[in-house]
Amino acid sequence: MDGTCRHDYNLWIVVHPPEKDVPGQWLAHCLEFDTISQGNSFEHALKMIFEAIVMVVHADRLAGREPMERRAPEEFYEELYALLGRGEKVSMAELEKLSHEGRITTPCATQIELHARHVENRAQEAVPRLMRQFPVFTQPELACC
Amino acid sequence: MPAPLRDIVRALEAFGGVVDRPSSGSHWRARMGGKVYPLAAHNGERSEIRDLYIKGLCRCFDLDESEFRKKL
Repeated sequence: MDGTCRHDYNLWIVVHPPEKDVPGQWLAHCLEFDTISQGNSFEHALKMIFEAIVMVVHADRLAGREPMERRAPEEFYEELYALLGRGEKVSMAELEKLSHEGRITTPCATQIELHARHVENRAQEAVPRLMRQFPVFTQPELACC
Repeated sequence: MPAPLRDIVRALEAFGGVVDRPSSGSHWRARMGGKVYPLAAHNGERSEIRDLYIKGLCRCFDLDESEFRKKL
C-alpha cells in the first residue's frame, strides 16, 4: 500500500446564458460542489468552472474535507431534473454552434467525470484531472421564442 | 444585483475573509473559516460578478446575503 487514495466524481454542471444585468457573461454552476464560475462564452464558462473545481477539490483535500459536502441546495437539483426531463440531448459541438448563433437563451446542463488522486501525507499531489465530458442537455427550440 | 469583483473582495475582507491572487489561472482564491471559494477574475478586478455567483459565495461562507450586500 502506498497510501494513495483515488476519488472519482460525477459532477453536474448547469450553464446559464448571459443576462441583461451582466452582458456577455455565461455562468457555470457545479451542483455537487456548489461552486460557480463565469466566462465570456459558453466554452469559456466551462473552462472556468473546470479550473474552479480543481481549486476546490485541491483545497478541500488539503484541509481533509470532502468537497461533496458543499452540495448545492435541493432547489438547484429540482431545476436540473426539470431541465433533464424536458431538454434535448445534443453534442458539445452542436451546443457550441448554437451558442455562437445566439440560440441558447435558457440554462443547459452537462455532466463531467473527475478523478482526483491523493497521496496520504503528501497533499500537494491531490491534483484532480478532468477525464470525460458527457453530452449536454439544452432547449435550443426555446431560443426562438 | 451583480457587483464588480473589487467590491466583492472589499466586502469579504470586511467579514474577515482573505483573497489570494495566484500568479497563474483565472481565479482568485477567497478564504474564510477554513473554506476556499474561487472568484472568477478573467477580466481583472473590474470583472462583473453575477447575482447567482454572489449568492453561491454567501452560501459557501455562511454569510447573510443581505448583510454582505450592504458592504458592496
